[in-house]
Amino acid sequence: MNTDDKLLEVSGLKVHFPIEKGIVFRRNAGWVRAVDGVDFSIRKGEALGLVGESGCGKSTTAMAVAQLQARTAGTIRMAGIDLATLSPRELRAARKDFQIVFQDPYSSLDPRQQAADIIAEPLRIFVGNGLLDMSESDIRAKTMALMDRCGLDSSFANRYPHEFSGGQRQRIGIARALALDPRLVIADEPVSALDVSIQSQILNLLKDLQKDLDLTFLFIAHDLAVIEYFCTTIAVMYLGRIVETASSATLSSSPMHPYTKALLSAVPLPDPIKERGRRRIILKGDVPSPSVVHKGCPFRERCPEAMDRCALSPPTLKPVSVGHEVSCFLYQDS
Amino acid sequence: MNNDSILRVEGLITEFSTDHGLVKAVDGVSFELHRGETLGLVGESGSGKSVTNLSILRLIQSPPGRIAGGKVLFDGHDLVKATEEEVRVLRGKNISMIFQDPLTSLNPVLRISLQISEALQLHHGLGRKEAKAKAIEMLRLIGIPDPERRADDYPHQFSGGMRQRVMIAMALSCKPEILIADEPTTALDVTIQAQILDLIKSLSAKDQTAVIMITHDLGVVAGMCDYICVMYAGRIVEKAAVDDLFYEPKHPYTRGLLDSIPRTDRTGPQRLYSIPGAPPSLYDMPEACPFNPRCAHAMDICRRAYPPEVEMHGSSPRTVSCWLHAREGNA
Repeated sequence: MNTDDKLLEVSGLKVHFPIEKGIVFRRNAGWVRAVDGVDFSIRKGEALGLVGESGCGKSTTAMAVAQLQARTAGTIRMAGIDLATLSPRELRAARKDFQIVFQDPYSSLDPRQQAADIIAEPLRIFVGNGLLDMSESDIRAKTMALMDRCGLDSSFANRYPHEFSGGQRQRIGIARALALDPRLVIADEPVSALDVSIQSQILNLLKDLQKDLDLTFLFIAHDLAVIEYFCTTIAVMYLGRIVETASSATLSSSPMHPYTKALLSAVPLPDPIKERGRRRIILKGDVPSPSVVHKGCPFRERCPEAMDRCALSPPTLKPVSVGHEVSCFLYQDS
Repeated sequence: MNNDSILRVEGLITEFSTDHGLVKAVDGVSFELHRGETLGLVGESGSGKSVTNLSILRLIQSPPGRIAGGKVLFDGHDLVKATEEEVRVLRGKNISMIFQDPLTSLNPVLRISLQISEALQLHHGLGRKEAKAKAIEMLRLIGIPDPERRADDYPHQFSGGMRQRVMIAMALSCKPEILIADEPTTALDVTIQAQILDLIKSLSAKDQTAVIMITHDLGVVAGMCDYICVMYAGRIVEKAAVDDLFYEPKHPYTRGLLDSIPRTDRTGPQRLYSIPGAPPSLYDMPEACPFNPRCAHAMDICRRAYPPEVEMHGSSPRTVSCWLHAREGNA
């Protein structure tokens, strides 16, 4: 594998939030370790899915990559450039390469702007900052082309967000993310707020866009089935760390980490006979608080296969076969 | 009515008066629930599945809502015509309900034990101490560790999954004949969802409780339900036993839904099917069959008249409301 074709490289990423106590005299009472040492890379044209349950740090990771959340440690490289070394102005210019599609199509659109203005806003901001040279008529033409590309009728250009359905709003959000011709699209739960029949429309649209525009995706979702459909590679997160990375096909056919196994077995299948014959791995208890420092493996308390060794030190991601990495002592020799 | 039938809904219509006029959220819904059966009510947002169940328990706020027609027969009584007092006695005792969001459905300033024992004191006439002991027993049954101590906690001290367990304990404490579960796991993570579904399944099997499971997740109904009603725009478009529905869906909407869900048990670069358009707004309902603008098989008649509910041949009773099947059935 040539390192040059990696568009995004994240290494040792940590995002910790302080827990403050006291009203007048604020003092630090600990840290929430939302993201606690995450490494991954995405090759050009690939779609990497980050999957995990609420609080596992997948969205915080996405926001840190998008430079919308300060990181505590680690580096984020876009096309080989460490984003932390850029000046504010350079960073602003670099933002055109990574754009975001948000989860909630209701709150992520300005209710007082018309659809066309929402989509054109990134272009106007870049023109206003002198980072892009485009005439107003070019902007308008580009906006119309984007609407058309995202399946929005051009007659909707002057409508306000409340006049659109949830699916159409998400199309507006996607068109806005594409306005600056980004190389990486960060999609944070883009379909989880949508109804089943709309979800597949949006997933298919994103797939078409990826193929036609040669886009690279960092795709965040809690739904394994959605991630598997959309992504080439999947990274499973638990308590701020990646516990397993594999290609979509490998992960669904031969998961290795006990958490991935439990997660897969918990996904209900729309197939009654398979459901009746299934033996679910039911995990005990809840995800522990991310403010607790774990000496051993953070999954230990819920793990059906925990060993003595798991309490001593945390495991790290180690390759088990080409493109398949697991962070679990079951697959590592002592 | 068959012997072990415990609830029959006939032609239920629930309307709401709004600033934009009168809307029918539920428009002629009929189904039957049998003892020990788990019935799934599946549909997308706005399809009327929750309003149907709120209507059964007469929990529709009036105004603006009202039950404009139909019957809800429980134990020979029509709940639509029953007095408020008669319904109040049934709620919690004979028919109880759990909701989607366990945080907003629990009272934040009352201890957990008090909230569980309330129904026991009210319906079974237990004293305060007995009710608390029973509440602790319920907490143990639903798998809360250290129930004696946790009984005195407040809802915010419980996690989302534990709160939903508490809701289940409250709902089942009086051993109701019917449990209505309205999207009980939608707000929960998938591993916690598995715990909760498992709990509902085992507890309802133990007491032969009939369950109405409302959900938008076809995976959940496949594993939980015996019989399924698919709702679209306020009506039931297809009713069938679970296997018939999943392996031989008849209505184009059911087929479209099943084809549009991504699944972990099938791999391949196949493209998902997607139903064009969006579910109709209740303010702007299409004429005749509400699915016709999105249907690949729409014919002239679909734009002129609503299809009859046709009974289909088969090993177990099934109906479909679609002109494509109007001639096949027994009707």
